[in-house]
Amino acid sequence: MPILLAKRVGTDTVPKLEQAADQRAQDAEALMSQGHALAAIYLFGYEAETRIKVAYFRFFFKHVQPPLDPLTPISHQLRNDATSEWLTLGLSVRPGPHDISGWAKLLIAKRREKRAAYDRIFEQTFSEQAERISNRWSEVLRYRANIPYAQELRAVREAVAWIRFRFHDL
Amino acid sequence: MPVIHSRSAGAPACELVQELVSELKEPHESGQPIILRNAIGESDAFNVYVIWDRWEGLSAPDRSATIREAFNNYDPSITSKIPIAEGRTPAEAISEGLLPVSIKPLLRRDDPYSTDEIREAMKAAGAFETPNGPQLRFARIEDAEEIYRRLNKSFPAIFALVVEEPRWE
Repeated sequence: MPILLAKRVGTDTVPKLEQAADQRAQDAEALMSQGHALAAIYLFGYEAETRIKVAYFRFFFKHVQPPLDPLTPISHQLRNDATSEWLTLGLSVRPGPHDISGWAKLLIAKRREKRAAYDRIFEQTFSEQAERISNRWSEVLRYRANIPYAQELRAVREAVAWIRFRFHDL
Repeated sequence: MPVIHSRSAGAPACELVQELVSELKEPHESGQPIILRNAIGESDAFNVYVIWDRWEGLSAPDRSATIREAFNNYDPSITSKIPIAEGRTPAEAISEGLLPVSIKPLLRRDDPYSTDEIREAMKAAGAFETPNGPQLRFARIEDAEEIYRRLNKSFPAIFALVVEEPRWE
């Protein structure tokens, strides 16, 4: 009996998430070109969320003592542990699981803590792009049929494009 | 024999590349192509949208490849700073909100100018031909101001400068 899709997906790892982010980017572009603006924004948002989380765990696995294998499964516990540091890292609010701007702030703060901070302009640009997406996106979009303005789609797409473009510097 | 479909990354249209390079080197004050370079925050990266009716019939990947090739020919050092490089026809650009500023004629019956005169003046000022007639459209107010001033001088109280859509950036 073949293992069906929902059981085949396995646990999250950095390479799997990275692959998923690339796939979401293609899916979102395809939807956009077919005029499905809300669905495109929805998937662009997930692309951004996934990339930021990949960047976080990629960094975390290298800098934790002892360093962890890049293929370490990203469990629910690991995610929980990451966001539970919000107060000590100076964040004003604990990032939710799909809080794009929150996870960007977490990554920025974690890097600072490990003395690997981004340069000022990069950090500011990253923060701005994450905010730009967060202001227009929520996982709740999957339960809605709103029609986005063209500028809203473009704003999300451009912000995600920058995150994708500079992904290896995150 | 199986049919194998593969996705093309886009091929630059050589003639259009040359024209774009010329425009980058010596930009015209009006007319097409319109090259929008939208800065990304304070970084040195920027998105490029080229608005041009010559894109008609060209696929999105081909348009992007053409623009990237042109920028590469113009200045190879900046091509690594461009996340998005895309081409839009004027109608596409207008519907996507890339040209939210317009100069519109408000011709009344007792005005001393004909519709044709106004149309010709708009075309001479760089209006796009659309199914709804010529449209004078701009990305920013400052791009429209000089043309608005000139049109107002030739046709007093006929034209209005309008920012049509909210900037939801």
